[in-house]
Formats: sequence, structure tokens, C-alpha cells
Amino acid sequence: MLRIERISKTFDPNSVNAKKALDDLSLIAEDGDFITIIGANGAGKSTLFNAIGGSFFVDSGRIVLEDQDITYVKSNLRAKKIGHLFQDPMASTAPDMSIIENLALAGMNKGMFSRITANDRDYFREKLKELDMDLDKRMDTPVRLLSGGQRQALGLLMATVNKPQLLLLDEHTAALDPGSAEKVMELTCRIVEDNGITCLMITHDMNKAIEYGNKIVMMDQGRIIQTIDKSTQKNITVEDLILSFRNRQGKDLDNDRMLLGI
Amino acid sequence: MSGIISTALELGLINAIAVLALFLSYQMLNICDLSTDGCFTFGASVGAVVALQGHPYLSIPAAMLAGALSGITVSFLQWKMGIDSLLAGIIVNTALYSINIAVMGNASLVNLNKTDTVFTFCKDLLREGFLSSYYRIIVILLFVMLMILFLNWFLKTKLGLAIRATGSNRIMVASSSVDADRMTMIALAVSGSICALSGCLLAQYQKSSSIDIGSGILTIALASLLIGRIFYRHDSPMLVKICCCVLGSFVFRIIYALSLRLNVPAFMLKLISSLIVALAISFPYFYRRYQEKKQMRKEEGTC
Ligand SMILES: Nc1ncnc2c1ncn2[C@@H]1O[C@H](COP(=O)(O)OP(=O)(O)O)[C@@H](O)[C@H]1O
Ligand SMILES: [Mg+2]
Repeated sequence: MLRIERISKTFDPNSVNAKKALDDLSLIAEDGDFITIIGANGAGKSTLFNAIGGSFFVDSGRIVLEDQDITYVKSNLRAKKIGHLFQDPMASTAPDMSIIENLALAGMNKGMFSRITANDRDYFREKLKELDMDLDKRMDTPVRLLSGGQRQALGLLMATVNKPQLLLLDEHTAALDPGSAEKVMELTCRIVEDNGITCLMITHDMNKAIEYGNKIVMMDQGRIIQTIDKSTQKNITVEDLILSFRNRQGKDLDNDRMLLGI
Repeated sequence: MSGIISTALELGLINAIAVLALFLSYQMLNICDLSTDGCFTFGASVGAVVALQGHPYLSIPAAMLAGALSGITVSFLQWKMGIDSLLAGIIVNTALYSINIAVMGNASLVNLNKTDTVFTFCKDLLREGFLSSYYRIIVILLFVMLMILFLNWFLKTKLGLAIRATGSNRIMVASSSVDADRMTMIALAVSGSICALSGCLLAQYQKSSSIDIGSGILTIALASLLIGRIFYRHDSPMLVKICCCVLGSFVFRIIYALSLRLNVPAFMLKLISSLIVALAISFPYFYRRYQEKKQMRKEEGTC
């Protein structure tokens, strides 16, 4: 379970560019939740994920993961329990290393001086087979030769191979062509479901947000303005989301990248 | 004549060890360690002084430890003191100038003519055997092979993978469980110790160490590294990549020897290596420009 209690973050405080990116934000993700997060550009969605991942410390508030207060834990220690995938497929893999080396770096839980054994290769080959992209036959290929979709699928596997307690997906299919995006999304659902991983996903596609999330969180100006639980509001539509945003914020949920689906 | 060739071979191989150090720091970690010259000299002077005290074998680990310390200092300046990586290298390089003179007993030269070194040790060992006249190359080859095997092992360990990831994609590493600062420190320590080993061997090989024994070694080793880069591809096995560094060092020595043949004076060595480095690094840039020009002309043609 992830518990975020009233966190705030201001970038460049004491300057004219001071920007309150997170404003007294609270959020709870129960075990097994798949929470989708929507909101206009600059709403603070990525900043929320970066705060959870630990790329900076919040100014106030607490972040608790599985009963451990991680508010001031360094990001590389948090990464053992939190998988983080970004929009840019280049951000999640090391291009100069082979597929198997990337996977081993993420998922080989042995000593510093251990090397990839034949057993490890078999284990990772099986994992790669599950991606269904023929990467299991190219394990020694440098990752720079893969397509964006393949790299993102590999990044997804790397982020989940150790069964993290939490998976953060920051528009991880937005930079892919439609075919790859669908494929990676399908893999995401399968892996998350099979391993029972708690997952937060930012998306600008409202249909996807409704389709995949068991809860839908709407963000604006560093705050969560609405949380919709699909178990109580079964037949929520994109129109409902837009109307609800307008009623609460007194403005339109305008975002040229937002796929309104109407 | 064969004397010239074997000397070139021997010097090329000693140089190759410094190239291997750069392979780790420059190629794998993607950091240009500007303290390389000073670190090389540090290894030479520490090794020379320890040998002078009558401990030829101890001179090797002592020099390597010194090199590791130098590498750790460079990364400490970056990690804990917020100094840019290039500047950190320059600062340590300058500091090492004074330290090296202090190590050599307030002198800028140490003479090892009558001192036992790893080379004289090997010579004594082989004495009358049929290999006795090859004692120099045997010692050097032994160290080169050890370093090749070590690097090939090291870069494939989990630690080595983490170091390579740090050099390959900082953004990825920032959000992963790898501690980039720690990896930088470990890699610079290891590459520093290999670089110092190279300096230590050169001093004992030429039976003297001086304050400028390492001057320009960074550029020379970089030139060799970039020449070696031509011989492998992205997907070549690690061992091949490492061996290509040694090959690059040879090719560099051959280019150098050829230019000597053309009556280029010996002091031009550093100018030649600078030229090679400048050209090799700018090659991808020129190639891109050329491609763009070609593309432009093609598009003009179709209009
Ligand atoms: N590292 C940073 N430094 C300064 N400002 C930042 C930083 N990261 C994000 N911001 C600002 O915080 C606000 C929220 O950004 P972000 O979380 O990326 O929005 P989005 O919801 O589109 O992902 C934006 O105004 C952005 O400019
Ligand atoms: Mg964003």
C-alpha cells in the first residue's frame, strides 16, 4: 500500500519563477489498485511520480510505502521497490549494453561480482519470451538497435522483473506508434495482473484512463481535484469526466494532447 | 633494426595498459579523466621510489594503490564537492605535480639504473634460458594479458554492468537502483590504478622516472583508443573490444614510427597524437555534415 500524506513541492522557491508543483496532495493506493491519473499539461502529474520515486525530497508531508516511511530515502534505494517507466523509450534502457545485460542489471539479485550464468540466461529468456517480440532470440543484441516499442517493452520487463511493490507509468506508451502502444499496454496489463503489482499510470487518453483504472484520479495545479472509484461509479464516460472538471474548476479540461474521444 | 621494432612493440604494449585504463573511464564510464597524465606519473614515481627502497614486487601494488587514490580523489571532488568532472580532473592533475615531486624526494628525476625492478627480477629468473633475451617483453605481455583478462571479467560482473549503465544512460540510472556516484568512484579508482600500473612499468622499463614521464599520455592513449574503436562494432564481444584497444595502441606506434621514418622529429609525437584525437573525435561530426549536404543537394535536384 502506498500512502501519500499532504505533500507539497515548490520548485525554485524565493525566485520569480517559483512554481508550486505539488500543493498539499494526499493519495492512497491500496494493494492491487490500478490508478489512472489524468490532468492538463503542467498539472503536476510527473512531479507527483518523481516525488514518489525520490528524484527530489518533498518540502512537507510524508510518503509511506508498505508501512515504511520513505519520505527521505534516497532514490536508488527506493528503486528496489518502485519501478518507474517514462514516456521516452530511450530513458529506461542502456543503449550500449545488450538485452540480457540490461535485464541482468535490473533483475539479477546476486553479489556485486557475480556474472550472468547459463541459468540466468534461461531464466531471462523465458521472461523475454513472454513479451512475444522475438527478443529472446536476440539476447546479445545491443539495445540501441531495438525499436522504441521494443525498448519500452524491455524497460517494462526490467521495471517489473523483481516484482516491485509499486509501478509508476508516466505516459509510457505516448511516444510509440499506435501498434506498439497497444502491444506495450497489453503487456503492462498482463504483467501487472499476473504479479499483483500496485500501479499508478499517467495517461492523456481519457478512454484508456477509464478502461484500465479501477480508480481514476484527476489532477489540476498540483492538487487532486477528484477521485472516481469505478466500483461505485460503474458507467463513467469521458463526457462525465469533462463535465465534472468544468463544474469543479470553472474552466475546461483543455489540453491539445488530451484525447477526449468525443 | 630489430631493436627498434622490439622497443616499439614494448613501448606500445606498456602504452596499451594506459589505453585499457581509458577504455574503462572514457569508453565505458563516458568520463574524460583529465588527471590521467598526473596519475600515470604518480604510478611511475611511487613505483620507482618503492623499488628504490628494495621492494621491486611491492612497487606494483603500491603504484596501483596510488593510482586508485588519485581516481577516488577525482570522483570525490565531483561527488561530494560539486565540482564539474573535467575541472575535477584538472585540479587533481595539477595537485599531483607537487605530490609527484614530493614522492621522488623533492627531485624531478629518479634514477633506477642500479635498482632491482620487476624487469631485472625476470631477467635473473630466466638467466641462461633460451627466453632470456626476451625478459622485457615477457614481463610486459604478462601484465597486458592480466589486465585484458581482468577487464573482461570485471565489465561482465554485476558491478561492471552497473558501471557501464552509468556511462551509457545517466537518465536511466538516475531512476534505477544503481548509485551513479558510487559507480563513478569505483570505476575511476580501477582505471586510475591501471593507468598508474602503466606508468610504473614504463619507469622501471626505462630505468628512470621523471616528473614529465606522463605528460601527454592522455592524448596518446586517447588516440590509440579511438584508432582501436575502428576495429570493432557495437555488438562485438567485450573481449574483442578490449583487445582492439591494444591493437589501437600498436597501430598508433606504427603511425608514429612511420612518421619518424619521414624524418619527423621525435618531439612531434604529441602533435601527431593531438591531430589523431582531434580528427577521430570530429569525424562523426563531419560525416553528419556531409550527409546533410548530400541530402540538401538531392532535395534541390527534385525541386
Ligand atoms: N525540475 C523542475 N524544476 C522546475 N520546475 C519544474 C520541474 N519539474 C516540473 N516543474 C514544473 O512543475 C509543473 C508541473 O510539471 P509536471 O509535473 O511535469 O506536469 P505534468 O502534469 O504535465 O506531468 C510545471 O509547471 C513544470 O514547469
Ligand atoms: Mg508529464
